[in-house]
Amino acid sequence: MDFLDSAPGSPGRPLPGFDQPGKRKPWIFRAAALLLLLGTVGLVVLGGLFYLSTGYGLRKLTPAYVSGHLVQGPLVLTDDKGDPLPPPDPKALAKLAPKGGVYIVIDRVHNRLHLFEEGKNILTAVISAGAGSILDDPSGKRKWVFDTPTGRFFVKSKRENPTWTAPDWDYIESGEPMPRNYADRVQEGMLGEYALDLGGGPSGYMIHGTLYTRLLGRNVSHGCIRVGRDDLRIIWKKAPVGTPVFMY
Amino acid sequence: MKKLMMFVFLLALSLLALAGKPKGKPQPAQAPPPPPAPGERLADERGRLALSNQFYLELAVGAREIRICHSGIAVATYKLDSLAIAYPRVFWVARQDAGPWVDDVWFNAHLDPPKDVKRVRIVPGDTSTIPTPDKADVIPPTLEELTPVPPVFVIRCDGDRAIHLHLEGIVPGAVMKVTDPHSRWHDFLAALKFRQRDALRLTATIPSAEGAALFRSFPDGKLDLLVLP
Repeated sequence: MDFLDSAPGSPGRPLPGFDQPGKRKPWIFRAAALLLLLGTVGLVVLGGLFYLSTGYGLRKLTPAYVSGHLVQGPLVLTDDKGDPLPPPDPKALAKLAPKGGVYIVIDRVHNRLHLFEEGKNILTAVISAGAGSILDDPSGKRKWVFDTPTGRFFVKSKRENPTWTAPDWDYIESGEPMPRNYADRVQEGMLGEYALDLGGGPSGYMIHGTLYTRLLGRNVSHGCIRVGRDDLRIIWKKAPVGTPVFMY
Repeated sequence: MKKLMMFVFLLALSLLALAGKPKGKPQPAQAPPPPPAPGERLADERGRLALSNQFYLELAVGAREIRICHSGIAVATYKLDSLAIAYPRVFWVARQDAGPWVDDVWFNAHLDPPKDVKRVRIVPGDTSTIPTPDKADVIPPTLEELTPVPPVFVIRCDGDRAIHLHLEGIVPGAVMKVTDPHSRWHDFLAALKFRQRDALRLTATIPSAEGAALFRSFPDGKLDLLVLP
């Protein structure tokens, strides 16, 4: 059974370098091998236990737990220089409140416009927001990203039967030659019955009507907010100049 | 004469001493201001954020809601199905309590993995891809289709504070394939210091439509997150 017995050479003869009396050294090797095996198994078992035992234990956020983990004391925030920030100006805060309680929220991901009055959502309109696509000027000098911007805007002005002055990207996108006269860029009827100017960007963003009613609910515009006729009439009526418009 | 002057001097001195004497009983040491009530602690910071003209977030622990706010108005609210705190543990023993964390500001909240919009590049003059009122076959993709959402994502903040959001159900629109940041293997590697370990982890489940909307609408940049009771 001893592997040394079947070692190269004559059977029963010791291997070169091993002493015959007692045959003790092979047992040392066996013990070492056993220890190594046990050590490896132990490490695997311990590692497995560590693997299984690590992680996170969940605890429900009961009202009692939450009240026991409230941060105590006043909150003091500092500026970059380490000086405490002054409290907010109450007059400036009071000015934040929308006039007449009317404001507009635009969800550009899901193409929805919500009109709020006195905290109540009085209208949810399906719209078309920016496509998010990219257009490169073949000259390589300009690039447009057709995103609806995010943040807070205000209705700066309102126009009935607005005209649209087509910018350069409109001609580049369609591959048409750019007109030499400014007047040739002006198009009627493209923006529907009304337009509410929001400012921002080089040519400004608008909430306006559309000829592309079939595409309401899809992201197709070049950044403006396209609204169906009936919804636009309500917005026109309810949202005065100065109405905040939140786009996210 | 000398005596008279001495008398006048002493009289003036005593008058001065009397004038300098505090009137009435000595005042006790001023008591420290009472601690702000839950929710009031963040009133000033809420005001500051409202005036900042930036988006910020609110996590209402009691109401189980995450809100995207701007100028003091919650422009979007996402309802959570469940919310729990997760304590790191080693050999089944939970490590020390996270300490107070509610009614506080968590800074630099951002998405992990980050949002990635697969933008379409327009070919100038290629009218086949430009929709027109009468062209029914051209339907451009929506931002839902262009912005893939992972089934699990994390809102990470400074101080290794994190909110893990698990979307329940089928994710609408495009889906992002990522390794689960909540997996046991990840936690194992983190316990061995091979990966970043959350010092404070909140775990929430959210309906997939709500979770996907939160991911896709999450404002760019790093935001302040108010953790309300």
